[in-house]
Amino acid sequence: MDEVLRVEGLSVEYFSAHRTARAVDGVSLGIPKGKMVVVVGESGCGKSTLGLSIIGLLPRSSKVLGGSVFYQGTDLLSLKEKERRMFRGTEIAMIFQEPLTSLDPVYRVQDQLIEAIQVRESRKKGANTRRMSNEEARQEAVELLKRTRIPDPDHVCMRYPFELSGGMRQRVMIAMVLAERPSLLIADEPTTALDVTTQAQVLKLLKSLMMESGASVMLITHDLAVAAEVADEVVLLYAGNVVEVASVFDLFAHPLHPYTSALLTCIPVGPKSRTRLKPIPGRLPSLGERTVGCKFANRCSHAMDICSRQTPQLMEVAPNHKVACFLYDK
Amino acid sequence: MTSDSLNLDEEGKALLSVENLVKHFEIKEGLRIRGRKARRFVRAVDGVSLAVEKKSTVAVVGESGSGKSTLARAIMMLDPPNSGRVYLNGRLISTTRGVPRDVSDNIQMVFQDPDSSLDPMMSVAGCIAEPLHRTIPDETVRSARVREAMETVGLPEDYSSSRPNRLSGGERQRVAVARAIAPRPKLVILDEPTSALDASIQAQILTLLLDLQEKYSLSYLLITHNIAVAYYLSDKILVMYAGRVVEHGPTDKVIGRPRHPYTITLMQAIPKPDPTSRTLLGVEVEGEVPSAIEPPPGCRFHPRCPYAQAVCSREDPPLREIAPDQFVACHFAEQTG
Amino acid sequence: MSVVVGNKALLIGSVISGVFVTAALVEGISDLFGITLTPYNPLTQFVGNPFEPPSWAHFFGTDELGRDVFSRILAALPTDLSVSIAIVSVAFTFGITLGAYAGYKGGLVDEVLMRITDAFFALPAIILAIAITIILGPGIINIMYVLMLIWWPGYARLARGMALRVRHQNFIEAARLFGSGQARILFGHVIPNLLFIMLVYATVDIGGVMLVFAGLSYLGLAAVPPAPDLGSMVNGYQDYMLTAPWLPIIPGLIIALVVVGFSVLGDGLQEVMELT
Repeated sequence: MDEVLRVEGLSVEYFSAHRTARAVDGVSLGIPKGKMVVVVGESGCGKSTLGLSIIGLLPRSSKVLGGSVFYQGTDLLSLKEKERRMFRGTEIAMIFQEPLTSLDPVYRVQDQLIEAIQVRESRKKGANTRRMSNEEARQEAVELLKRTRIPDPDHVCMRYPFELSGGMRQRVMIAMVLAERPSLLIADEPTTALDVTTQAQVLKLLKSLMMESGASVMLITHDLAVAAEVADEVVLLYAGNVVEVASVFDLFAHPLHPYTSALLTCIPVGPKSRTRLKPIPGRLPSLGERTVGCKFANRCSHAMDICSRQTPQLMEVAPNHKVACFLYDK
Repeated sequence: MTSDSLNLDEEGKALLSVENLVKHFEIKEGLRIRGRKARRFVRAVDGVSLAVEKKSTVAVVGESGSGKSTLARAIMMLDPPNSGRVYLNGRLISTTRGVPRDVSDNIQMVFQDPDSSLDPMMSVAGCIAEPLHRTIPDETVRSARVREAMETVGLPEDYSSSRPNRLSGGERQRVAVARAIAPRPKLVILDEPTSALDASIQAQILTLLLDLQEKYSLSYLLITHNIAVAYYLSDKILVMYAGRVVEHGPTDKVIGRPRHPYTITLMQAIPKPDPTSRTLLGVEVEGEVPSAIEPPPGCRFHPRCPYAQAVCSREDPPLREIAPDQFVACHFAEQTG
Repeated sequence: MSVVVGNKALLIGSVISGVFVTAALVEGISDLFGITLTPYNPLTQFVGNPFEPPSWAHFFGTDELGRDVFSRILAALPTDLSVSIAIVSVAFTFGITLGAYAGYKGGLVDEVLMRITDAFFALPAIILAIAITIILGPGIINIMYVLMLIWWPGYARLARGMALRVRHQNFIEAARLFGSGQARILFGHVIPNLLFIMLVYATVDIGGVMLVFAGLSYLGLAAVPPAPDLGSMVNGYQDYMLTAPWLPIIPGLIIALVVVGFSVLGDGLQEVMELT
């Protein structure tokens, strides 16, 4: 299978004055070419940290403890920052939840797009590359905006980020990403702050751009229902561990991990008269809590003795369906 | 509160009744040097009516710019409405200065953001006791009420003296709920009560809300953009768009067979946990919610509506009954659903 | 306790300012009872030869009248510190109440109160101090009143800014919904939420006030000799800069150290606050 990214045994820790917290604990996953893989998890599961580790934008208070991130054969974690930068933005790009903080509020949209374009141009080495003029860059900026189906791109170019709505800012972010032609786009909760209809528009846009360019998308979200609507594959995280990986159809039709099935019964889908939500008892382990064995054991209705003693490993239990649970470990 | 405006609807049942509520905000512009321009207003809520009966849940659903939050605040007189009437238990709530006694006594609110709705400097017990100060002067009675509220929402007693920032998001929301029910209100306005919470915590809070409704015979006015939650909790639903109600009726009817093109779009756009029946990627609507300052002429949804025709840009459709109890504001509601 | 030790700024600041505050307290209280704890009586002249440089007998040397400088400084500390703390306390209480009220009410009340604040802000300390000494005569108490009069606007402005932010928080709206009165909201919610930041500001400010007070006293507006305070000591000794440099320098250094001590303490408090 052709994979554009493979993460193996990645562990990342955050440290503060008093304690350390392992945000990502031995995570392995693969992103096939041209597919949308949705990483789902509730807060504290480490999904954002995972994204930041891949692109190499972890904050200073964190440390990669081990593991590798293979991008087309190269282990990104073994590279120095200078080499890593060659991949960032060009091969692997990232968009975030709140574009207001990703866009510089004192520059107009077109200035930021032009900057992205010119950075790309300057990376091209060679004697016969001529410098792109500002006007050419500006025209390309408008073209990029057009590709995001944003209404009135000429007008939008002249605006400042705060003058735009959330959905439009996200489209600007996507346009900036399109200035390069990344093979992998990591989208960290890109639609969480948006309205339902705007979310649909942005997700549609991401999916169609993905299909046009053959790129892969790693979409990070807390919303399992979003995964159902757009994913090719789903990776479910719990407290820093991967608990289940499957194609989207398999995951919803045959959830294997007790957390997966419990989570599915938490999503309201009908009226209270017909469906009763079954909340999962207990609470998520807090960051920094060290547990022995399976992290979900204390809330799991199928917990066995071994679950609180050993940590289950991720295993392929059905074709392309992996789960980390002792229920399936024969 | 004048007694001559006793308003009982036909069954005499409505706990809360809102008639044609209008809330505009004036845009304050700087000094105008040349002449006087017409004053500009943000028409946040432009004529909304609704009724909530005892022990029932009414949901007001809409996206940003729909006016739903402004509506809730206007009902509570936090930002009193410009025109329209609000009746509580048949009595007209007048726009006195500040929040009227009637409201404080009967209505409570659970806010969206559990972080900012609790005073970070107050203990949990202090937060819950706060609404009781006015009506329960006796300290022992108050503490007993606080303990009872904490137990009902499932908060351990040793949280009493903790500060909110020591609690998780779900626990904080429980404190907010405890605070809302401690004064034994008749109506609780829930403003996006679970939007900031994870799915598993949301399920806990929703279950709690249903249990409380049973136990205390509460009515809920639910304000949310999350239609799945609205579907789960409510008996009646109103869909708002750009300050107006575009559709309302019994929840299962409106969600089962939406008639207004906007409602249809909303239903399509909501993510559902079933990959075999995907609708989100089929959403066709373009554009954004219109500016509340100068809404489009005629029907406010017409620039984005796939069914729009000439009349839609000229005449604003009124709400009319399309099916028993189901009202739509659309010229072509027969052709939609 | 672990918080204090763990935070370097807090620790250093507490130590430095603690030393001075303790010294001032001990000296001030013993003085009230007529007990002299200082090595020498600060007022007694010729306890040693004049202009003796610092030595074991006289830690900071002696001045032109043979008085022990160390004892003088010890006697001056309570004066400087108590005046500074008094001024800050008054400014703090009055400024916060006014500022928080203005910020919370908004509108006309806010405008009027802020213009009044601006007016007091504009009053120049030195001119006022000179005017007061002309009318009432010099003296520490008079200068203290002057500074109290003009020191509160900073607090008012800061409190107002913070109140503006706090008043839109949901818990304030919730309080309004419960029918809480304005006083309850102001004193029960708004002010407690700005207290910590204002305390940090006030801590650093003690040093600031002391500097201004020492400056005014240096100009001769405050002390009535021979009662020592640090500023007038610098003034009195400045002529001997070349011949007996320890005389003007040491009181100046002490002033600087106290200011630094409180500043660092304030920084430490701020860091601690950000952690919670």
